[in-house]
Amino acid sequence: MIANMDTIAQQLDAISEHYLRQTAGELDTYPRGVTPREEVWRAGNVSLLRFESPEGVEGQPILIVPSLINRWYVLDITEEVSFIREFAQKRPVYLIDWGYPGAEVGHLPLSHYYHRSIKRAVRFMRREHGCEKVDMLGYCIGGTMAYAFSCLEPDMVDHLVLLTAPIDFKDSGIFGTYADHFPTEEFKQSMDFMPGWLLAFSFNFVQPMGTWQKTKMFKDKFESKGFMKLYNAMERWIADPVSYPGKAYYHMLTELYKENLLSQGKLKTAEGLLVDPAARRSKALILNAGKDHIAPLCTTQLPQSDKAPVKQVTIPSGHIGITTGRNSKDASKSALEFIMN
Amino acid sequence: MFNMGEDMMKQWAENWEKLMGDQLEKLVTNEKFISEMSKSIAATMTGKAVYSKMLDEQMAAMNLPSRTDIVKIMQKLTDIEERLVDLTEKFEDYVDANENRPAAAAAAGAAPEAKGKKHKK
Repeated sequence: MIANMDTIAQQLDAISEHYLRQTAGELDTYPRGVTPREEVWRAGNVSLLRFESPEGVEGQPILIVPSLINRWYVLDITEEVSFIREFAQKRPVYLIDWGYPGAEVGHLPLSHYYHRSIKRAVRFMRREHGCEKVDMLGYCIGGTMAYAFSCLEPDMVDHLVLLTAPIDFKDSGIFGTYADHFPTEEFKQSMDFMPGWLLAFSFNFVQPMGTWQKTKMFKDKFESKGFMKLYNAMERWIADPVSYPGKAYYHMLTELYKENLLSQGKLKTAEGLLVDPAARRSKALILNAGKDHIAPLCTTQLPQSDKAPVKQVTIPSGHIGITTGRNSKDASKSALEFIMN
Repeated sequence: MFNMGEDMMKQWAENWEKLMGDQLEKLVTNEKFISEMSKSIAATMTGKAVYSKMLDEQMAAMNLPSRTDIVKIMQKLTDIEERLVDLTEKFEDYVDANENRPAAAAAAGAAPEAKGKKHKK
């Protein structure tokens, strides 16, 4: 009897291992981004990708600045749901891939990313296309960085799309509360980077019923091939966390979340340059999400000192849903229309 | 009869989901809970810093490099790479400006130092 139980346990173990391996294998075959691209420039972890456009597509290039907290290909998740693919049909599209940062970049300040790295990418595009300015779309913290860059280098940015980008951190919701209590000084003393798995855990933690709701949705829709394609691609993206460079994370928590320096026009780069919203001249589109718990609507508003022209479009979705959900097409269409006009 | 049972189960599941959702949401947004959790994280990080320092001292006593030493070297290499990229760009801008390439000349005109001074307080 006991021997039989043991055999059954062994068989169950073998079946579950086989299933897990197969699932992991299948997930691993999912591409990280679907639009064909080439790496045109690299410095350390950071690289600049150029996406393939149909022949004859010309004009002012678009630079996409993704979030530092997760991987960029949420903007190019499947052939059917892709900001990048839609943009690439109309204009040359570039994207900064922040890579997988580790301890080796733990000493680099946040301004290294929002000024130095973006400036290098823009410089490359200007030389390549012979243009004075580029158009820019920043997503999430990438949007915050694109905004800071457009304040620092007003002559380099023409159109700026801020896709669910927190700018004013005064009432930054649940993440603001966690940031206020986060032991930043202890973090600074002990960590070279904020581990990706811990960041991923914190996103799940603030939505405790998220996994349950996802499982329910899976149960209702798993027979649809279209749903399964997007679901698996999203799972692949979620299972690909990235660590946040230590000093940059410290700066994000203290200078942005705790002290709200960007909105007050007091943020400075490591070299002492002032990120002045009053200096910004690019045309901006605030593209925010009505149900966003990561960048609530009030955080996406620009500072009062910013007098450059600005439009706003609110999409009825969440922070990730705006890029991959059923309203993502409306969001990408709004962004593209703004850039093209 | 079967349908009634199924409906009851569905209703029960919905009630459970709402109740759990409300309770858990209250918990994860509770300032006291967040504060206590942060204290626990702070203690863990302080412990990690102390442990790392002890390891560094032990490795130094054995004349061996510690993780901290290796990370420092890696960061120095990153700095060197950054400087090389900066120098390459400056050299390219110089060559482009001499060749009178309009976009490059504009890029050279918008040198970081010049812009920086403009925004400095």
